[in-house]
Amino acid sequence: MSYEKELAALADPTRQAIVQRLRAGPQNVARLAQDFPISRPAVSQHLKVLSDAGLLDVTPQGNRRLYALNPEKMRQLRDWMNTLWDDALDAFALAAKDLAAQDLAKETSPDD
Amino acid sequence: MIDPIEKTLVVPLTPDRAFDLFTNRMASWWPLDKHSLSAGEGKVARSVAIAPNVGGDVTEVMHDGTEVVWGKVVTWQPGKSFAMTWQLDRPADEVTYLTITFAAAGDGTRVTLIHDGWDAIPEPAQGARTHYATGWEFVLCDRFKSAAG
Repeated sequence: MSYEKELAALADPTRQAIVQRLRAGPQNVARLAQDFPISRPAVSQHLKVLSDAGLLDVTPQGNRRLYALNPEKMRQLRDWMNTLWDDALDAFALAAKDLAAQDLAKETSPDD
Repeated sequence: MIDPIEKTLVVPLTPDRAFDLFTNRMASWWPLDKHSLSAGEGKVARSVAIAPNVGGDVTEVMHDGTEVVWGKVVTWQPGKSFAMTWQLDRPADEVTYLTITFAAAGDGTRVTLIHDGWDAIPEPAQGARTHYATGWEFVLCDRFKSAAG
């Protein structure tokens, strides 16, 4: 599993602001549209990108939908980062071995 | 409570050299094709660099030349320890913390990585203000104090 999709969803400043806004509590599109200088369809589009990335929980509320942050997301990010660090540290270990081998080659190479 | 990520490995370099490779020459070993914001777009990042001082940015140069900041340096002690906020594109109060320590072990160096702060995500009922307090104030006050002390 990769987390890059979520990061890409959050790369947009408006979507970051929407996430920030939802931190205060769940909200519907109409209320969110009041808080942002963009149209309601534009807010809906941003919410769709965020929920497609799994960042939001969407629950029906009457004829509207209520958007909330998905609390499981941080745990998933941790799991993803755990894999990332395995990969990154493997790469670091290889580079360190290469560097040590280069040092050794320099030490043992003849001066002339 | 979500446990920190902890990893250790031993590399055949002195602590000074291991620190230098990890930080100053990060672009030479980091899997730019796999773990970067560019990778999220299916491209290889051009580079990643750490500004070598407390408060400095850790910056990815994306495939198209766009620079994105992954986080900020909070501890810079060459040969000993490096720490940064790990933010990527997440909101400022969802920052996590990465600490790498370097300790002599035989002829080599034991490198220990700790990535913590996973509980930074707020409960839905809590307000944004509370989390700014636990997020950036923590970074700017506590971490800088400990880095300076």
